[in-house]
Amino acid sequence: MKIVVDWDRCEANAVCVRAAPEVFRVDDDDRLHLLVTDVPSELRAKVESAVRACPRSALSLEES
Amino acid sequence: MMQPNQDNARPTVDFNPTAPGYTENPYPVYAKLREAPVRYWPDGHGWIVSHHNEIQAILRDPRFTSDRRAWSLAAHMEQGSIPEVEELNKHGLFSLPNKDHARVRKLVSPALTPRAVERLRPQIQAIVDERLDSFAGKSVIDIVHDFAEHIPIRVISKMLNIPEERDAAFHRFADSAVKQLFVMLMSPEERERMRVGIRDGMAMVSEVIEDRRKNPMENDILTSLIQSEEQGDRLSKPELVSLVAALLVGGSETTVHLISFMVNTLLKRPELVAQAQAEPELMKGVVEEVLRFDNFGKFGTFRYATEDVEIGGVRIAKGEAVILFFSAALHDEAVYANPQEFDPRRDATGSLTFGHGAHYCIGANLARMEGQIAVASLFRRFPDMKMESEPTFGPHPAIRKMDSFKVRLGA
Repeated sequence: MKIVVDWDRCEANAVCVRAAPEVFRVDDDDRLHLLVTDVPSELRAKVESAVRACPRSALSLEES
Repeated sequence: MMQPNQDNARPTVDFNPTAPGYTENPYPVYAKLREAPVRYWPDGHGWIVSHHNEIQAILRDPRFTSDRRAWSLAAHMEQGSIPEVEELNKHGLFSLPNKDHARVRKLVSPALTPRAVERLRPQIQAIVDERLDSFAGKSVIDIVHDFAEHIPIRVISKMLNIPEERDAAFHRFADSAVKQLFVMLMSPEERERMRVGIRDGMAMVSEVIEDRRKNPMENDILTSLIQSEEQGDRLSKPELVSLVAALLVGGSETTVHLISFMVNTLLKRPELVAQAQAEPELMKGVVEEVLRFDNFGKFGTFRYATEDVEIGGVRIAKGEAVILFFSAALHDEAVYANPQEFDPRRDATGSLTFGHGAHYCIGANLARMEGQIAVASLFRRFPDMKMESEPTFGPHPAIRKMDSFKVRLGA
């Protein structure tokens, strides 16, 4: 499973970071970094939660 | 009056936003609205959506637009005949096509991220402290007129380097501009006052912009927006005026109510005040939970179907309006355990208080910070503050607007 980010939408609210800190990081310049390319199965639920919770609907998932 | 096309009997709901008592206590009506997620409201010519999941689905669905021109009834409603409102909206964030919307929004969103807003903390604290200083020697003050109304306009104007002399006038503009979203609910006199308020406000915004163009400033959001406009293809002049208007309007009218409602809620829970003073993180939870538990909105925001869509078991036809009742959805039992209880420690992730999706409130982080600082500082300065008179509510088409709300400072 891969995470797709709409970079026009992301506004560094970092809700995803709170939902899945193993996967998402926002740096001091308000840039989002994905810490994995393929989501490991044990983090799947957290990542799905993060995708739903993003207030800007900037995240989606793609089966790889 | 043109009727939208009806193929089958649609589920309908009775709703009267002017019913006595609704503003003071809308919760029984919200419970009734939540009996079904989506039902047509004949008087309002739109589908009332009252459940969290359906509202969120609509806000994530590209087949719905915020552009009023997609409403098949737009030309037949009063709104279409008010040129000042047309002008305010035509190049505004709610009306721009998706790519233009993203381009314009991106010019200001970096200044309103959680980190960017955190850097404004000292300035916001100074504004709040100055207002609290002005209460010296007073025994009774009005939370709305003496406190809440003075903070948000000063904060957003300070961000734009607009001088304090303009605060009262811009606040009046914001008041009018918020009302224009709900024209169908206003009397002719109210509509006229709103029209004049918008016309005068837009003229002031243009004046401020032209003045800044002649006198650019360093590290100034407004100067950099003007420079974007002068570059030619990044921001048009009408988009610039609408954007600045949106910042002033969004930044000043709504946060007033957040502050008033927070103070009212906390005065009724003194044990919570002490806890929140000890734990700043808890005050953040108080902000979110006040907005969920006792939201100041009493009407929905509109979206329009650009093609036929099925939501919540009903078919919304192309050109029809959905009215998203956030304040009803914030008590949706499917999402919140014991929604009628005030619990500032509950998990508010995914809450709809600031909307969701493309038009998620661009000022949400600023509003949160203002709410936290203003209310924490007020209770810290006046720990013996007590309610002197219960809040009264004034007339407004869409906001449960606290009018007079006095406290005895106990200083």
